[in-house]
Amino acid sequence: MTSDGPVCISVINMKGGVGKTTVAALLGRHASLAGLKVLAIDLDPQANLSQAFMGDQYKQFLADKKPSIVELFNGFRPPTPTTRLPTSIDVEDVMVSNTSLGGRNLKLIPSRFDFSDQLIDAVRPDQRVLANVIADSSEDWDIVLIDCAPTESILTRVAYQASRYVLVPVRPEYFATIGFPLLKDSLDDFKGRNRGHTIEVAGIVINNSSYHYSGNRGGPERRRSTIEIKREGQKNEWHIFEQEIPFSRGFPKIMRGDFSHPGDAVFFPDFAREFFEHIGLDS
Amino acid sequence: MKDRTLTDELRLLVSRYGLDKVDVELQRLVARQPTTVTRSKPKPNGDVSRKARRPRARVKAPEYVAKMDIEGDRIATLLALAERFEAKSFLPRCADIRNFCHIHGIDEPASKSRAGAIPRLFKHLAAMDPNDIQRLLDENAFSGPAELGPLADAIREHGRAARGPNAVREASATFREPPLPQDEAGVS
Repeated sequence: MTSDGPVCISVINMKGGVGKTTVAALLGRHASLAGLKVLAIDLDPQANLSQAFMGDQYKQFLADKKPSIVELFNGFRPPTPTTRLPTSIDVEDVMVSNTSLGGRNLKLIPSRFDFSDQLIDAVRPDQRVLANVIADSSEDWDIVLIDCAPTESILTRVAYQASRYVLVPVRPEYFATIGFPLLKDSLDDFKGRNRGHTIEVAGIVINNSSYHYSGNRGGPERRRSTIEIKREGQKNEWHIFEQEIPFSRGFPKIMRGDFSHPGDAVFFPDFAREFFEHIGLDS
Repeated sequence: MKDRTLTDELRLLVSRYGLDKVDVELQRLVARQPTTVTRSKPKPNGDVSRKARRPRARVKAPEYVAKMDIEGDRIATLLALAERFEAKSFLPRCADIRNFCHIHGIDEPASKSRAGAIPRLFKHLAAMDPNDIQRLLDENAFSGPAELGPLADAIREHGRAARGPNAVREASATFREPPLPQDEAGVS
């Protein structure tokens, strides 16, 4: 299925509310329905990707105290009334399959909000933990997608360590390009410290590109913001995907697990195909 | 539309011979010439007989599963899923069924009702790996759109368990304001 072998991509933008989780979730869904073996990793303590994939299952997941990325970072499962000793943890123990959004070929490493607590309390969290986990199971995947938190932290470095590419969703609005210089600095700093790493920006995807409810596709503000996005993208020599993701009320519905009347969300595969082709994946 | 001539002639026969005799004679006719007397097919003008118009009794998922030829160890799991299907806690809406079919590579059922999808759906489930069926049941997967309220409650509950009920109070109690620089603190 892959022309250039398995690949790991982080979906990232230093600005929040740009649709990182939606893009990561739908890329995972599209790839898995196309027959690719997908590992989706929720690296955001808000755990929205986990909630999108698991829906109501997430409640049970919390209630049952099932292991998550937190335990993967800790390297063990804490004692329970039945085990009574810390037990070793394998990546397979953490993965969730059979999600209603992801399809049969997708597995998820879920997150929990106390992920940030664990990192605050850790003396010096190892930013290579995730890269090592993926390396150990690399033959199992065609594509690994990491949903990142919007702020620079140790988790950003964790994502960079594991990734060959980053994908940058952006919304055409006044604050759109604020995250670009932060991301550029962050990547340059990372590459400076990790000379052997070849991480690249796969490109920028313009999300919510048309505002149907305004009746004029967003008007002059949208056009102005889009021009600024393209200008800033060129300045950083970042590719900009031709296929934009249209505004659709179908996206939040799908994230909730409501597959009725997806509206313009049906056009998402147009972008997904372009993206996968760009990074050398045949979907 | 009613066939008035037939009705009038039948009335005449009933008034002359009585309803019972006419009925018996009709039953005999039906027995001898079932194809000409019974009308299950629609008339050329689109009219259908009362029998054809009567909706079929809906087959419920557990009944359907109970009649399937399934090995002993998986029948209980499938029956439990079928019960959930009837209770609308498994694939509660047609859109959920379409998504399930999409994910599992099953042709979407032609019927637009949940009941119409039962045969195709449960034939596929019966052919699945028993562990996968059990997982569907255990994880309460494909239960339809999620509600934010219960999810928020679960997160809150987990927070209390993980951090303790007085986490905020304890954090504030241990927090100390950093000392102000001397000039701002009013020390000369």
